[in-house]
Amino acid sequence: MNIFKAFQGTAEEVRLNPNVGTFAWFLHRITGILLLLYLFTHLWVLSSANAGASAFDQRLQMVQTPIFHFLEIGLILTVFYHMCNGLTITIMDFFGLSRRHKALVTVTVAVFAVLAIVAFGIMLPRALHHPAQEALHAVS
Amino acid sequence: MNQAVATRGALFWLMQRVTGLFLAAFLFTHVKVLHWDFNFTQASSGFLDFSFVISRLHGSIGWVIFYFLFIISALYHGLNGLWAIVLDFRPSRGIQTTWLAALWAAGILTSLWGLYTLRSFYFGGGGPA
Repeated sequence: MNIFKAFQGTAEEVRLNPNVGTFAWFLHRITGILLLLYLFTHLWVLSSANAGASAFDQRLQMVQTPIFHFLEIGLILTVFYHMCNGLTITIMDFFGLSRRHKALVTVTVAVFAVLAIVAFGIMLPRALHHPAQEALHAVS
Repeated sequence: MNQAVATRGALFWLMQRVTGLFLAAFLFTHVKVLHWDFNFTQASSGFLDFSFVISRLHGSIGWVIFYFLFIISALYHGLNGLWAIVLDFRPSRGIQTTWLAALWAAGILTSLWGLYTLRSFYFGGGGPA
């Protein structure tokens, strides 16, 4: 398995077939790999509970900093894209709509955009003003 | 391709769709009970911590089952997705077998690790309190 050949193959696929479906497929893979990596990281953070409550609190506090709250916005956008596109693939498969995939990708992007705006609206203020972080700064 | 292999491929394809749908439902529930409820009702108490998680999971076999199903669905979906990517690289039969063994091992070990962690939440924390 040659990783360079694979990238070459992917680039060739995009060149030969430059429609929205190809980009949707490519993004689905990238977001999927990112989410799999996140799953293991998340389980690693949570597994600190096996060493007791204080170990858990210590590790959880490590990932409740402003930078991590910004990364969480990226995480939720990754989840939403993968979820919207995954649902589209499922609908296409179950209802035989692959001929209409271009229109469906447009719907997917529109739904994703709405979800992304809502997520930003809810999460950005929290990333900028985390109550516990501010309390910590006030003490120090 | 023989019939058995084709049927197995179709089963894995269907499972990928089914676990994907499950994951969407699991994820919204998980975010609601352990993140949304914290951020919008108790955030002023400080950082999300062990006591908050325990207030949901301690002694609740229902949540343990929910989270175990969540973990195995996510692992199946993620590792099977990775397998599809591996196949796109058109590896040799030997490399395929190695990948398959590694993915199954990762899936089984991580499921057990997740179950062990859930046990800690169920019993109110492992190790020294």
